[in-house]
Amino acid sequence: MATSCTQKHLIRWIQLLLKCTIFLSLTAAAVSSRLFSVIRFESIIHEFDPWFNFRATKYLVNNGFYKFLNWFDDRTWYPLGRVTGGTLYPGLMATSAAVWHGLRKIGLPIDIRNVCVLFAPAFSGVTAWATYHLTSEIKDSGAGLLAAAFIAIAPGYISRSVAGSYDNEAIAITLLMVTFMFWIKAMKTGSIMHSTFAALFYFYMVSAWGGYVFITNLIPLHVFILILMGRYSTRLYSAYSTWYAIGTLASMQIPFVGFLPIRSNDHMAALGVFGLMQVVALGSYVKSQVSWQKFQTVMVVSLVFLLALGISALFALTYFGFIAPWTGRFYSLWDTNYAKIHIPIIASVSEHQPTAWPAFFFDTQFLIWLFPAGVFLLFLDLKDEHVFVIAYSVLCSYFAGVMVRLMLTLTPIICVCAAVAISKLFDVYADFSYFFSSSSAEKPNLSKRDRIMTLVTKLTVCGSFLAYLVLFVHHCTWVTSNAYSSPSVVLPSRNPDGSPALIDDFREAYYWLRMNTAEDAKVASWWDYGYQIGGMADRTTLVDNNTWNNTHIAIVGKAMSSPQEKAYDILKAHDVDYVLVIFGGLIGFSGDDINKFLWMVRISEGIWPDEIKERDYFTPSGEYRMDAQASQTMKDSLLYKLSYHRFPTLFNGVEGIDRLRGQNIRQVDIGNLDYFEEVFTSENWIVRLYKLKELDAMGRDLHTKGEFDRGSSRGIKKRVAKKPLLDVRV
Amino acid sequence: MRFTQLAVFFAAFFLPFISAISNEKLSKEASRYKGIIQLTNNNFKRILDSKREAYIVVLLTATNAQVGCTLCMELDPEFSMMADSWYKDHPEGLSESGTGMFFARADFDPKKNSDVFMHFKVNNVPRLLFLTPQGDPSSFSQINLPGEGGMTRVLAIVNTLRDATGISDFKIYQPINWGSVFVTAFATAAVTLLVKKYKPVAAKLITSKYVWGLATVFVIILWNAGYMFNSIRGSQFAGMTQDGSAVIYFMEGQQQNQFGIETQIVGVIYGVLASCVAGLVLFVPYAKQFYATDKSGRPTLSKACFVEFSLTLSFLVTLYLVYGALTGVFKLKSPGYPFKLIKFPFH
Repeated sequence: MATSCTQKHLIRWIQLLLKCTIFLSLTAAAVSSRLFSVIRFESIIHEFDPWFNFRATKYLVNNGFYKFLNWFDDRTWYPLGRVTGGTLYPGLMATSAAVWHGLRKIGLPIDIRNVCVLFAPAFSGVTAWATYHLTSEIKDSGAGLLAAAFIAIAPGYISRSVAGSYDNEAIAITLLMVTFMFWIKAMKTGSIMHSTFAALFYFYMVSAWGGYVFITNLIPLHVFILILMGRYSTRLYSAYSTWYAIGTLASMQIPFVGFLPIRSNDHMAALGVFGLMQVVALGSYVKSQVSWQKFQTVMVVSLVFLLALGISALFALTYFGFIAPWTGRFYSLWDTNYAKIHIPIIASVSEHQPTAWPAFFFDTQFLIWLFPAGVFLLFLDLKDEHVFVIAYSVLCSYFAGVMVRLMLTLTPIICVCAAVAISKLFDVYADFSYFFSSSSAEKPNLSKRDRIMTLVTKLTVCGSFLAYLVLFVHHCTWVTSNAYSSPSVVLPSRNPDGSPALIDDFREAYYWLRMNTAEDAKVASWWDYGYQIGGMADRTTLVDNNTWNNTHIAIVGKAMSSPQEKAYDILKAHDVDYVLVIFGGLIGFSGDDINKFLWMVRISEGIWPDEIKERDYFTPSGEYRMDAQASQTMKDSLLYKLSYHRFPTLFNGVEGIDRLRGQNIRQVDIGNLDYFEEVFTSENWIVRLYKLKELDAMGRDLHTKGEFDRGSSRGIKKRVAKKPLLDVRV
Repeated sequence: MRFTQLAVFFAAFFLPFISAISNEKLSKEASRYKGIIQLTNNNFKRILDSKREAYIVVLLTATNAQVGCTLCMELDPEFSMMADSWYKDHPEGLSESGTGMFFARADFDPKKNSDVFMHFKVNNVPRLLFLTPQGDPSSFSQINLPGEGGMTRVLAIVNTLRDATGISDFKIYQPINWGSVFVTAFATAAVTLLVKKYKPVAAKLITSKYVWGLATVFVIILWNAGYMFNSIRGSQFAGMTQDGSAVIYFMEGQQQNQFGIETQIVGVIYGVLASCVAGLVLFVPYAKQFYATDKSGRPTLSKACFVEFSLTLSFLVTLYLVYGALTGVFKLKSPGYPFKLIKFPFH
């Protein structure tokens, strides 16, 4: 007896030790696979949105939390400004500021930039831990460990959480999994403590990401389905009521969310289910007190009455404006054509495009076909918590199909389901205890041949699936290293001799701006670069990636698509000093402004349909070209002139070759630039900066002045531009 | 007598050259063709090559299957819908403000209407052209054809026409698809009847885990295989090689784009793979259990072991082959992908 007790203790200790080791190595794998970009490039913030988050974090660290919440930013959206403190989700910045302060307190002062860069990898370890607990609740701890391993390295999640990708999603997926984990625990046990934790993490999630609406709708959906299946229980009642009450009250404390939870349609499902829950609770109480027939009448009458009342109240409140209708982004998920017709600014974002099948395979490899198998296996058990996983899988499969970026929310559940499938498989085939058991009573009369056959069966299954798992690890590493580790601020490239090189035009140009322009200079650029200009050049911008004001964006779009004299007036009216354009024609950088130009046209056409017409920018045969055949409107547009200004001088002075589009650009079409002067062009011509010319001292208009100057300066030698040697390798 | 003949002859011959083709005449032509005027070598000069009072929308197309112009075939019913909707509200071809608009079409046929295509100097079809009244017959503007078919394209074209002509009362009437209405009605009726007749079976089906499970898994596989992409982008079902000699099933090298058929192929692959896993987990132990005893209840363990062995092996081999095919297919889409399970002899 005593020995068996110590043996049990020993086994438990070994298990704990093993688990700890596994978790440590999982976290190590998760973190290290996200460090490719830091090792290859440097510790740098990536892309666009992270630059805003970084700037906001710096503001928070320098000015404190209350100033941060009241932050009015007059350096963006000039001249409107932005109530930044009230229109952002502070969770991410608050967390990293807390980490920064915490590390300082224990004597480890770390640069805030490094905290931000390494934020996402660090949190991916927590995500793995939460996924482990969630899956343990769904099946068992074996499946949990598998799921944790999957989520640690699945490219679908890595895509948004590599080092430097300091975005809301980096923390949001962690919080999503933690919230769901506590919700499953609460729902299984009816524990108010777990439910309160779920609500608190829901609050944290609300403070960190707009996608919290997903939780707001998924948990009520789960409860609703359970009620429909006749699985109402007091456990469910206490879990949901606690979660809803605390979670809603807490979420209203975030300034940006405010009264939305009781006023917007996105949140009405949660409220409705909360009401339904009370009715069902009352119903089940009445049922236990009166006879079945009486109860039936009561139920039918009250259900019809309540349903009618609820729906008409919803309509009435929406009609009178007490409840805001669905928000555009949310609406575009259901009616997939809505965004394209009504909100070009949403449709224009590449991560809002629908997902083609290779993306699913690319992001999850063999998990994608284990996923349906796992869902089916869960269906056979169909416990209450399995309903949750199934509802999550179906909903997110749809969402991920509609929008590329929502692959991110689908990936965790794919990992969970696939882990369930593999762990069930191993339950059947990886059970070798049979061969080691010593007592002959458990060994029925099996011939040697049969025993070998069974062994071979089990070994082949385990072997082949282990091989697939190994392949999965290789796939994940390859994808992460090749596709998701580019900061997109610095571009990888090669020298003519094949040695690696970097194209660092963006930082070069932003640094020039920071050093050579007045501190209050206003820079007009397309909105994609707003955050970077704010973050790296510290100059005032007209529009940025926040895109809260469509009209303001359309103004910049209109300026870019108008002839230079008109554009000059528009820009002058907005007090602009510099115009920044991104041009990829020289080295073949595909994300340049000319490729985005049609969206500028479309968005401004939405506001000024009489002045800007998309059709005018195409050739008569309907093609989008930049060479001699381009339409006159295109050739006159400011963006065309700014992009190609002096471009042919790199070649023979008459015609330049646009490598991105494979077209010849003629000097005749580009013409002269009278209203703007080039002040800076980066090494590979990716970033080009122009200054608006001052009005002429003699009162001539700038075109006349330009003509005059050209007439008098004939024969003066011009600056000679040299072609750089680099190519883009992306 | 002779004079009148001569006069009629002259009138018939020269009138088109000296006077504008009136709206009434165009209207008559239109009604002769029941809506869309078919342009031929003989009539197109008369209809287009003179000063006219109305706008004319011309579709140059080639619906002949030999030409293999998919867009032409797509565009044809849409063009008819536009024309029918226009004549439905305006039988005379005149808008409320009196502006005339007519629809004409030439379907390429080297014998009958090659001159029309020569006249407009088109070398690829389909082209949607647009002639203004009083305009020089050789000057015309082209209407852009949006890539996305169906009502989206029709509405886009109609909007362009509205802007260009200033005609505000151009409404589109979608013809009711009676076939689909009947099928739906019939199917609904049949299902209702069947449910009524076999109530217990229906109840069992509705509450069965397997039915729900299979349906859910089906939907998930469909969505994960890019179904939403097809329905949002309206992707082509399959492609053709440049010379039209072979059908292409995969948009090679394009990770962010796909044909409709790719969803089906990949969906079937996912389905097979998932059912192999489900078979390994569920069916193999079940079969082993089933064969563990014979009818009289005596244990037949060696048979059970053999069944388990062979079933497992066949599932594993299927899994391996199909998974190998999946990586192969993915390699088509993403040429730089370094991993493969099977070496295909034909690649």
